[in-house]
Amino acid sequence: MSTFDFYSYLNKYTPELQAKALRLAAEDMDFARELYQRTATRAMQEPSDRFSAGTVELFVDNLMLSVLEEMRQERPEAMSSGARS
Amino acid sequence: MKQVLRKRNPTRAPCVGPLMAEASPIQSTVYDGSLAGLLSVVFSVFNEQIPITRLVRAHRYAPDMFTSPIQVATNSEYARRVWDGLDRFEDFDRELVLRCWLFDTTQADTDIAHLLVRLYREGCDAVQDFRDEAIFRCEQIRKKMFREIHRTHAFVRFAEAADGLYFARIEPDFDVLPLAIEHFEQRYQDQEWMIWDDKRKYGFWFRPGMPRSERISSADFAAGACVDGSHDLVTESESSPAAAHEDGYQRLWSTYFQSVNIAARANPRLHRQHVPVRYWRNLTEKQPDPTAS
Repeated sequence: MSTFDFYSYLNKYTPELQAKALRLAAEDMDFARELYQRTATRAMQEPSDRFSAGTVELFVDNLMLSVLEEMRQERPEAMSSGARS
Repeated sequence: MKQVLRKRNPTRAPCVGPLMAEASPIQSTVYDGSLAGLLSVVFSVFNEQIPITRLVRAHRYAPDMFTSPIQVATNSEYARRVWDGLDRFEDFDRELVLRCWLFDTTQADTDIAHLLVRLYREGCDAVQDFRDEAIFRCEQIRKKMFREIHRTHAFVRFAEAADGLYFARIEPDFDVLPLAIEHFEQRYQDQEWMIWDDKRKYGFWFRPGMPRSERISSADFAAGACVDGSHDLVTESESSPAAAHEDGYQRLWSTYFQSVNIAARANPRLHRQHVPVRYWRNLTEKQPDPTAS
């Protein structure tokens, strides 16, 4: 019986996820913070049966990329400052 | 122009969103992981106006680069006030708090704190508000824990050790032993026994004449503060010293199961549903018969 939830994932992988956000934001701390917060907040709102312990990483990566895309459209200047694709 | 004033129905809880919306949901509140700590967090929500965020037990907290956590120190006086305060809600079952805390996930801790805050703010009706996802999840945890407690009652198999202690090993999915132990305390009052949770490395040890069983952990064994033969039972799972007649009783028990089994009505799928395979490891009747070959 799985008791997996995104909260447990965050307990373990917060540093990893934040490092990923920082890398995608090309070391822009404010951009990375918002990218991480939006991704985590959205992942928390997903029903836990959407992912399992095996698929959560893929799920979160996809979510982070779509949030990144969204933020780029909101702030085109981030593109010029170097947020990676 | 006639103004229509809608009077709110006082018996119905207002539809409120999750309290987590008051703060960034990814911010963490760190506490020591004890029940008193959890209740202290609930007290702090009212006393210090801290927001309900993700409740993380200190040993699980992962460093966060972007936000600093809210630290809540355990205060047994505050915890007692929260616990005793639940008396005023007659329809609220306090065991729900224990079940969610023993469920031992960050989400369950967060959800039960959220439920308690709503209970104190809005009264018993809030506990029935299953539109609130956190409360709905608490209800699901109640059911999951109930099933696991029921199975623990059913699937405990004692074996007599050489020193007369009856020893049983279990590996439940959730930490249900503290809630299930009362059943055994009432049932086996004239025997010395121990039930050991192999997954969480602790157990309960009961001796005749004691009002309650005593909680024993691996650390207690390491400190030598425990029973004679049971140390080997706990640490050496394969070579536990059993009583001389124990093998005979185990064979008798297996024979009983074979005798009552009607082969023509075998339904393995239903059987696995009622007795999940993960419990078989500790069931006497599921062990291979050494005399079969």
